[in-house]
Amino acid sequence: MNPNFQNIGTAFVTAYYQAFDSCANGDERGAKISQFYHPDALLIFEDDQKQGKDAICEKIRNLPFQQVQHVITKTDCQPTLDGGVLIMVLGQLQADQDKPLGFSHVFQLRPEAGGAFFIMHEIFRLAVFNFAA
Amino acid sequence: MANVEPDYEQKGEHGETKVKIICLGDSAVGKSKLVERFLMDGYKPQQLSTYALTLFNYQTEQGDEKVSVDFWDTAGQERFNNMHPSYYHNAHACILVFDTTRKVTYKNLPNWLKELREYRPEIPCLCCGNKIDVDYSITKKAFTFPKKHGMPFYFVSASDGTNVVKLFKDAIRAAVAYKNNSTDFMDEIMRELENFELETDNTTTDSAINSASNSGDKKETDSS
Repeated sequence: MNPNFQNIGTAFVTAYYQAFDSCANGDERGAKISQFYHPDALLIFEDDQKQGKDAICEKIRNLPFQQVQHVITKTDCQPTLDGGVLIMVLGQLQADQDKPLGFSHVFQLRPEAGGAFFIMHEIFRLAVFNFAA
Repeated sequence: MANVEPDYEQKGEHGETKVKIICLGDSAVGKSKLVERFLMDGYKPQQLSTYALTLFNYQTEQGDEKVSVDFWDTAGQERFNNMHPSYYHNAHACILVFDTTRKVTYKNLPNWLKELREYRPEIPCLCCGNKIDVDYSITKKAFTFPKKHGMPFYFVSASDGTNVVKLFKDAIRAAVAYKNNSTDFMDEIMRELENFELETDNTTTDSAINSASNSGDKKETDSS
């Protein structure tokens, strides 16, 4: 297991959301975010399952907002047996002028030769609950 | 934890008729703001979007009938996924909202109407153009969509309150009439709005603004 999992995880999270949030629109975002994904990566985004880097980036490109800001509350990291890192992010996001929404976001990073890490698994879920009366 | 959907078939504790009204339209057209504006003093603005759905309850009367209205509101999560069918389930009326300052939100109305009709083919639907306070001259423009679909149309401003009460009172009336299987209520509302337009046509100046504020007494302001 990689003893450096904490640094790898937090550095990844910082870089990922920085890239995600710095884009002015979906086209830019879809192109920029592709650098983080393994070619065979898997995503679940609010029930929508995608397989492969291209399909994932297409999904991100087509999210119906221009700008988005993520604010991280906590990042939890755990080393995996293959030398990768399992990450869970809890935070809030704001899409364009919408109300802020909570989210939780899970990544599993896979190590590649040369010391690079790529997203192999990703699950995104908004933290909105059933009902408020 | 209140997470059980209300039963709109049953009468309320005090014999009131229960109806559900939903707002539809693009993100950031002001759906929540309109509901908050109408309820004004009774509700504080929501601080956090913890719930996917928020119900705003409003108690009123229609003739001698007590009515309990639930206005349903989303947290804006429809940007990230599809609107859940439960949002439409059992709704008795719908308010279609667009932003008069953003044309694309008007262009998207047919999509919203199509989705609504998949789930609720028959319920009365009212249409409003919000944010007219940004530029009142917009009220001189003709918006053909509501007319084409036989919907009552209102120029409104959640910000200064123009026409908000009129819109919601008509929506409540339509919802209750729909629930009671009355058939002529939409005609009635349409007729009223037409008469109203005739009245404003007779005024020589600022007719658009008069039209927007819809017969004086309906204009709600902060001081009310």
